[in-house]
Amino acid sequence: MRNSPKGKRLSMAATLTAQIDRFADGHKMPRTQFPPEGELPLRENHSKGRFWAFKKIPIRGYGWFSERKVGTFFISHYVNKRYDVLHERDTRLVHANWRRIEEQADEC
Amino acid sequence: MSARDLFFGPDADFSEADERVFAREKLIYNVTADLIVAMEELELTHADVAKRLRCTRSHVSRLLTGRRNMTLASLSDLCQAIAVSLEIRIDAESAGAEVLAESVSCIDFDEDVKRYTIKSIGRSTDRADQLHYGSIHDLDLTERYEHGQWKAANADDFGGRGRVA
Repeated sequence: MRNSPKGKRLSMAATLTAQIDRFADGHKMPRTQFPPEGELPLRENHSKGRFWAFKKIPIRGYGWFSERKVGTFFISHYVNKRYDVLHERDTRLVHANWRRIEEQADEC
Repeated sequence: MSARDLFFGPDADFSEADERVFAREKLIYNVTADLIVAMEELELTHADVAKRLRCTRSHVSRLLTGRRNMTLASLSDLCQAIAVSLEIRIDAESAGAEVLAESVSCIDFDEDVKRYTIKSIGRSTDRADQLHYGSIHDLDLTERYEHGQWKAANADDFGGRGRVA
């Protein structure tokens, strides 16, 4: 958010807030604004899981549907990016947060 | 934790102007998201809609990303092009109705003539005991009933509030 123009920060945060509220309220999300973005770490006896992206140019937020807490979606982190491809460093960060929360039950 | 806490922290204090930004962005986001969902379900691209509207694809893209302000006219045009119906509902039970309740003890709605009638105004009623509203679609204080006749009202009749709609 710090990288957004000062006058745009509030409206950008308000849009991201509206995006989360819409998702949490169970309304259908546009596929282009909430696509599956990458794969979660592999676990024994589990099918491949995916993580998803909240897209609002130039901001992107990554998260996953929890298996440990059913009905919960964890947001790993937000990034400011102007490119479309998923960056390896974002995948690593999602995986690290996923392991901490899903495997070690550490939500702090 | 609310979605706002995520970006501002739980102790953030918002001004009225900030709240207007939140309300505005929420409306823009949800209207454009609904349109995009409809387009995805109908397998329509921005180019398809642009062709139907006889405008450029980038114009449609700017409208749907919120980068360009959408007027009611362009919203109507987009819905027409996508072939979806549009319904706009303004919730009369929110703030506007509370303001009315301060000075009005009873509102009757006459189904036959689609008019509201307000009775027992909570202030001096030496001149009129009934006030008349316009149609349900036009909540505009236009007339008052006085000595058996409808007369044009003015803002003073409503504690200086004037138009309510």
